[in-house]
Amino acid sequence: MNLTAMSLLYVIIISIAFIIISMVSRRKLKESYASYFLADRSISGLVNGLAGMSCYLSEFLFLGMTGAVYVIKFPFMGILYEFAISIAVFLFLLAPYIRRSGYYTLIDLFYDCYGREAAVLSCIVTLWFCMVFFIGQMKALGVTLEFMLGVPYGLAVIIGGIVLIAYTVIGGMYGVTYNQFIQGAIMLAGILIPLLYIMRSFGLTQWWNPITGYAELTPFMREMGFFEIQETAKYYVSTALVGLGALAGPHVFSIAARGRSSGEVRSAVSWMTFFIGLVYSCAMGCAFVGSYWASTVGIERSKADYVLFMMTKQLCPDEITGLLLAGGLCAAISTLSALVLFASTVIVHDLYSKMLKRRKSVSANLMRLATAMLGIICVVLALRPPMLLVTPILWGWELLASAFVPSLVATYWWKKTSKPGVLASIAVGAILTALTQKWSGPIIKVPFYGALIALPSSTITLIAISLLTRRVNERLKIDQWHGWKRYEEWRYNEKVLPLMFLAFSAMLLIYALII
Amino acid sequence: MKSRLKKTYVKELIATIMFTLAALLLMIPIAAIWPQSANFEVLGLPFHYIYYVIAMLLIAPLLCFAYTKIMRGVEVEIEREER
Repeated sequence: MNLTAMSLLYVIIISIAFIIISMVSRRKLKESYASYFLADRSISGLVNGLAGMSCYLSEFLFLGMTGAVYVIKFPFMGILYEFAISIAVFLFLLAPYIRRSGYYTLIDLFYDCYGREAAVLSCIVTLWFCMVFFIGQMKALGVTLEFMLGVPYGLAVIIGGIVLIAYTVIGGMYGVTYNQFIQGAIMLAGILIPLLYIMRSFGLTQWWNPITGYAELTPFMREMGFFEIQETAKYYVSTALVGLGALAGPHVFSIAARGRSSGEVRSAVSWMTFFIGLVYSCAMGCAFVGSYWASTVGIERSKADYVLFMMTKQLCPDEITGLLLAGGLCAAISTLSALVLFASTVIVHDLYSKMLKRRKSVSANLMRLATAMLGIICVVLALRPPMLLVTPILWGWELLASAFVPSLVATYWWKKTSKPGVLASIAVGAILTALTQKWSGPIIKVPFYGALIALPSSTITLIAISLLTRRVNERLKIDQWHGWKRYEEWRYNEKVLPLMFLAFSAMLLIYALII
Repeated sequence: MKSRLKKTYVKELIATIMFTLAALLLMIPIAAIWPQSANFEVLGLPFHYIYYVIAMLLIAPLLCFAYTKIMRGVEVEIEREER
């Protein structure tokens, strides 16, 4: 059986499995938002952890990472590393409180706490982020299917779109979560097994060790300058701030919101951190051996995106190459399904039902229709995608970090957070992120990512204005969200800590602008 | 009564701040702080490279599981104090 036949078999099996899982999960669905959009908030720790990993990690890990590392070398690994660790920060500052507060989305939270203006602002930014991510993931899904099935790109996008829409609409969040659990397992196998096989075919003595088994190649990689540190500390600090965007990631919010309890959510995010570490470590191994192989074979930089596929195709049997492609397919489709469902939650629950007050006219069919329409939009947008998507996607994460992270953390931890403070912080974060982008025409010329300016400025704005103005919601439910039954004014009402954050942000801003 | 409530609250606050600071520090790669880390090897790989692997695979999950355990204790205390 050749690679195309093998890949076709994988695609058929996987697609049928996704739809069957969704059909079985459908039995649990009830006619409510919580059921369709959040699986009745019933997902247990380990399942949510593995499902969360597959939802968080994108196709980039399979399609682009090895190529990017081959071209940019070691410094590129830092960005992915920072995104992996930021999930721990999400656990410490937000995850259990998101679950306890019971909100569906960040927009839902901001609407109740700070009113319509904050909700509209956050809705615009979030939907823009979803759209950029949709196009990126859908393009990756199309490219993978094109490679697997040997069909034109447009047809590949349509096939992927049909599978995605079918299982998301049928099973709602139940179907999406249980499928993500399976997709996570396939992703893990899809990156681990090819890596081991490739290391074995290189004749490495520790081929069975995916974590450090490729260390024998270190002298060669040193010679080709793979480990050189070309970037400054400022580059690493600014990319770490971009990584904090994960705290406000729409699909990351859903992972916390769908958990069974705050304790289960903590456990889920802990498992998720472990699984992300495991898959990233294997992906780093793939990028390492891929860079070695591409250098020895002499692959052109313009074909860097396909290094991992080309290497696997040359060194592994078709069954294993098919498994790698299946892992990539799962990575794209799991993130896409979560984002499609998230965007339909925003449209049906936040916009239509809450802001336009049409709660009574919402039915399960409307929820399904919204999901299907968004899936179709996703397919149409991806039919003619832009060439380079890494920059807008990184820009999207930076925007989330600068515009939302300070307000989101303060909403769950600080009673003095006021509506003017939040509105100003979101506006300052978004505007400065836009102004400091090299690719969109720089107005403020900075030789690094704008997050180093935008995030501290947004934090300073939030704290300063909140201290100077009165909060609207006199009895913010922060006590309840942290598990306290009785309200106490002194709790989560510090002044010293926010002032320390303000001073730290000011120092960071000075570091960005002067040093 | 109030002092006990405050003690539990401060415990929650300190645990969260310490763990968050640890994770934020971990987020900044060792190469940014100590560029010479590229010059020596651990387990056959340059230290600034293996640092990523150890941090992602061991330190970050350990921090998460330890924090989960500590917060479970804090939440039991909160429930007891509020009764």
